[in-house]
Amino acid sequence: MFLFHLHPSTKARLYRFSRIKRGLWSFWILVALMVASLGLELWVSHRALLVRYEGKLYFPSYGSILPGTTFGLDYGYETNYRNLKATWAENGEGFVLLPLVPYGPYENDLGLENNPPNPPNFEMGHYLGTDNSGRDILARLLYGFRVAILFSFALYLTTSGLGILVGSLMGYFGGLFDLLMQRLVEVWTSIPTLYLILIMAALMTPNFWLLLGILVFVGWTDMTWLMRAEIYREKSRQYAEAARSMGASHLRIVVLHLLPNATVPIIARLPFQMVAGIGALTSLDYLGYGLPIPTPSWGELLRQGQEAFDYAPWILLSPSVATVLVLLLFTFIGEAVRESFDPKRVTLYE
Amino acid sequence: MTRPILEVKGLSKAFAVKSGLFKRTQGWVHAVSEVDLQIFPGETLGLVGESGSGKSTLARLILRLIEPTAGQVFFQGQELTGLGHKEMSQKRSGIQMVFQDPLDSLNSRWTIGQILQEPLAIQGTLSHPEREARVSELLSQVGLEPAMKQRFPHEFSGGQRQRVGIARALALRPQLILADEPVSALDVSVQAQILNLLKDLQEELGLSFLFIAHDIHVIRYVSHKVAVMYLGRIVESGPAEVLAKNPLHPYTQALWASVPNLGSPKTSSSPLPGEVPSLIHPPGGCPFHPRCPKATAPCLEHRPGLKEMAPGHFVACPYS
Repeated sequence: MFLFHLHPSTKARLYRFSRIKRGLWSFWILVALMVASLGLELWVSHRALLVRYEGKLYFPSYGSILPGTTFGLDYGYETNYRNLKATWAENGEGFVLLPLVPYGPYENDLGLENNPPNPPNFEMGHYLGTDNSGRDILARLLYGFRVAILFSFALYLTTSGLGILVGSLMGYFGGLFDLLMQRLVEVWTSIPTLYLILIMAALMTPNFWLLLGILVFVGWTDMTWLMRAEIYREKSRQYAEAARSMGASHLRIVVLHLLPNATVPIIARLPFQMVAGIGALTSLDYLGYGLPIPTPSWGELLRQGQEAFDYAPWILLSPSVATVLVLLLFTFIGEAVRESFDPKRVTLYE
Repeated sequence: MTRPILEVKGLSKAFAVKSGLFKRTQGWVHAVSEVDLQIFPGETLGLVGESGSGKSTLARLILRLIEPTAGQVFFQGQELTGLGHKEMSQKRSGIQMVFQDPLDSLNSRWTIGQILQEPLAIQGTLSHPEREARVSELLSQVGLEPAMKQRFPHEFSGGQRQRVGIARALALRPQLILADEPVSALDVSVQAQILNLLKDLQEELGLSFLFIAHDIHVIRYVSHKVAVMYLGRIVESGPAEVLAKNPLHPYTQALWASVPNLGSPKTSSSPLPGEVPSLIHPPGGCPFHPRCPKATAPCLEHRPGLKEMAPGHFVACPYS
């Protein structure tokens, strides 16, 4: 009942946000991109969306692979739907509906006349060309976007969660605990992230969860200062005292009273944290200490593009434009949120 | 003689002043020192004193929102100091507080209905519909419309907000209400309404009040007994009429003289010289001696205790 009731000041903030057109548009574009990227297999994939063969319908996009024998072909590995479509287009045995981009992010298309990399080719459906290994750049760009978004969001959720927990405890209980945690966080902040990742990468192969773990390990301290200050301020207000005088538990006071009054900085940080997360992942991938090859990633594309710039400039172009655009959109949202959630603009206290 | 509903014995609080990297204690602020007081059922004790005299701290010590350094608090004969967190939480329903700033003391993200239900949700065993009914009852008790439940605190005027604050304090059917400057944030015209509301509620529900104010008019209007605080100590206490007519402590006399009076044209009252001394380094001897017109050599050495000058009238000054 507390959660679903939109507070007037929240409404005012959302209204102000909706008046900042640049931020609003950026928000909707990114939301659309993110939602679309969740079902990316339906847009960009070497698997067909729909196959009709001998009166039966198949939806190969998700689930286990369908061997070529399913459709009367002579091989037992996964069906090549593009070839299947071409064959059936001639003899009319069945019908294949391919996604917009008929290539997967891991697939090496070596069927072109020239050796990869190949420049953009609309006929073949390689709209942004292929990379050094003949993989479709658009497919890798979009799958890389999804990985980066999910990674940054997971990073934001875990670092914020830990930061809120520790920061709230510091602010609420204060005293010796606060003092010791402050010193700990100060020391912790000086851990060099890059060295840590280099060392860890030397010891084991980095993967999504290890990388996330390391970045959380060094990044959880960011939120603690903010939350500590927020809770420290809120708990000294009379409404918190009133709750205590009624015999409310610490948990109730922090969770129901103080945290809802301290959400603005948590939300306002989201877009900037996404920028930071994507930036971190991209640069680690660029340096070669990020996600393991062949995970689709912008950093890896950037490096390839840089190496092959002399003879394949299109490889560098796409991830550069994509990175700049996405980070710019997030920054626009961040600006608008900061502007519209500014407590000086919407406040209930004189 | 009836038993006091609240009895405070030797209550003291000293706050440590800390600074430096490891927060070493540099000194102590003696906010409240060795306070004794009693409140009887159905009675209002007015606590008066200037800013920083420890009035609000005293109220918070009674409710253990701040832990006392020394002394005891008895509520209905049971000692509150020393109770565990859980037992204390249960005891709190008997003593409730009305806060100074009605806007700050209501959670701005909650509706009035949510705010008034909270004490019932924390303490009570009432079902949801019963709580809703109780909220409506409380709102009409303090002169607000039950339909106002849906609204948020910022949609109300100062006086209405303070009514909500009073309704919240009443929710758990307490016997004692600690009112910490409940009207000092309000307009004078609204003050009178709130004071009358409190008086009516006292009559209706048989409540006892510890009423804190720095406004002497307010204190005289609501109190049966009055205690005067200076530098964390009670310097004079007694029945309201006696204190109004015959203040004995030089500080009380100065305080009373500072009140503009329409009836008597004589306004030759000279303000007290000097400033309130530091609580970190309170003056030795009588805490009032640096500003006292009657101070003599022994006052610098020896702090006078409270002496009963007339039945129920206590004064901490040998020259009264």
